[in-house]
Amino acid sequence: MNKSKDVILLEELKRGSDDAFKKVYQDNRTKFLSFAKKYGLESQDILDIYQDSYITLYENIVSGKLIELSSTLSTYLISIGKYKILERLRKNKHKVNDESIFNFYNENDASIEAFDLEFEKLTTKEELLAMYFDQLGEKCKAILIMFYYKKYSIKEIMSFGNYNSENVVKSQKSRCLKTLKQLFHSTPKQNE
Amino acid sequence: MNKEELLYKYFLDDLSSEEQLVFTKLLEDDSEFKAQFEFEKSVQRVIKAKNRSILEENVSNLETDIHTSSEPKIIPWKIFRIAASIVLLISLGIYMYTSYWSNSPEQLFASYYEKYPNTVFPINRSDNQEETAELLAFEAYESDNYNKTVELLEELSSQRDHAYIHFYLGHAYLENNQANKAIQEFKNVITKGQDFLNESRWYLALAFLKNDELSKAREILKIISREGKFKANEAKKLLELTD
Repeated sequence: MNKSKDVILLEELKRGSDDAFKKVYQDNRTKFLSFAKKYGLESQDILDIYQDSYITLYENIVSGKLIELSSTLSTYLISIGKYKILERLRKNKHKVNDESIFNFYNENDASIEAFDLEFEKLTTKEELLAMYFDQLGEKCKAILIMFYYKKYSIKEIMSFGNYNSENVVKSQKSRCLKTLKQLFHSTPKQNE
Repeated sequence: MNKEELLYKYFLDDLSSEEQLVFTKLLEDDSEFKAQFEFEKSVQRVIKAKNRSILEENVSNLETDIHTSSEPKIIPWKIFRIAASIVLLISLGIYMYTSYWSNSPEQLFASYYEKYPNTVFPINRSDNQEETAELLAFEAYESDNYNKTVELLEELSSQRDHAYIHFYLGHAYLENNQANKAIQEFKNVITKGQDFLNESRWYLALAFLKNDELSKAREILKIISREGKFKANEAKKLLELTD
């Protein structure tokens, strides 16, 4: 439970460091798996849940939903894990043991209300859009990823992407969206 | 505040509660605004999905690293139980012997591997096609001359870093019994996350099988069956067979 160490790791994760990504995954794995064992899930399910929770935490860090730590990274992982475990138990129509669930959420949990916890599969139309997205130029992809995924403001995109002015970023972004939209709408209707 | 500004703030999670009200009202009343919002929302979901499959890949690689680096530790009091298991294993072994040989990783590779056709570089022998390195490479590939394919594609891949070059180079290595090198090429395609992504996952799993790395193969097969795209049914079957 070393919070100052975690603050550094959080910064490294935000920057996209592979080493930090690996370290946090490995450091928390055993603790998480033994915590999750208590709920009678198959070990493969537990590992799936850990991986899903880990990716979810990472996504929320990258998208700026987790800016400042109010608990350790490990507590965040367990809190996300609890949500995912409960979801899995319900999905499996598992008889949820009242006693273990009674103390499920507690005051030690990290606050994850603002997090995106669900990952919904793409619709058929969106799968198509994904294909068109690949056809965009590298610059367009980069600008859209910075805005919609990393949630960089126009100003931040300007400095990260070496643009000369905010207006250039704005018009580039809307041009990219427009291109994508045109590709998308030129699709024959039967694919909808 | 104009509509564009509202959308901008929405995607940066920056709407004030008053703006949120205006936003919700516009979604109800203004169909053009709603359509634009839904389009941008889909763009966001698409990007998230793309990044998620790369992250899943990374996490699964970390997992295979853990399995390959950790040696099992034997604790003395467990030895008796182990001895008992050995007796059981021997008797089971006799029973399993025959079924194992039909389901060994190498065997499974042989029954599931199919050469991927040349879909990127059409060759018209009747035309006077210019003899580029690419043409020669894919000609060699089509005529099963894999030594030559490897040589030419290695050269091409050092000049330009395209997913399809790595993808077909991976195949040539695989056909040439160089599974380790094939694995590197398919991983390379996957980390790019674009063309041939799903196909490369499948062939990466097969390359692991060929290399007798069953647990790594299974990690990838799980992703394939979960994603439900290229060869998802075959992946499910292989998972059952190797369970």
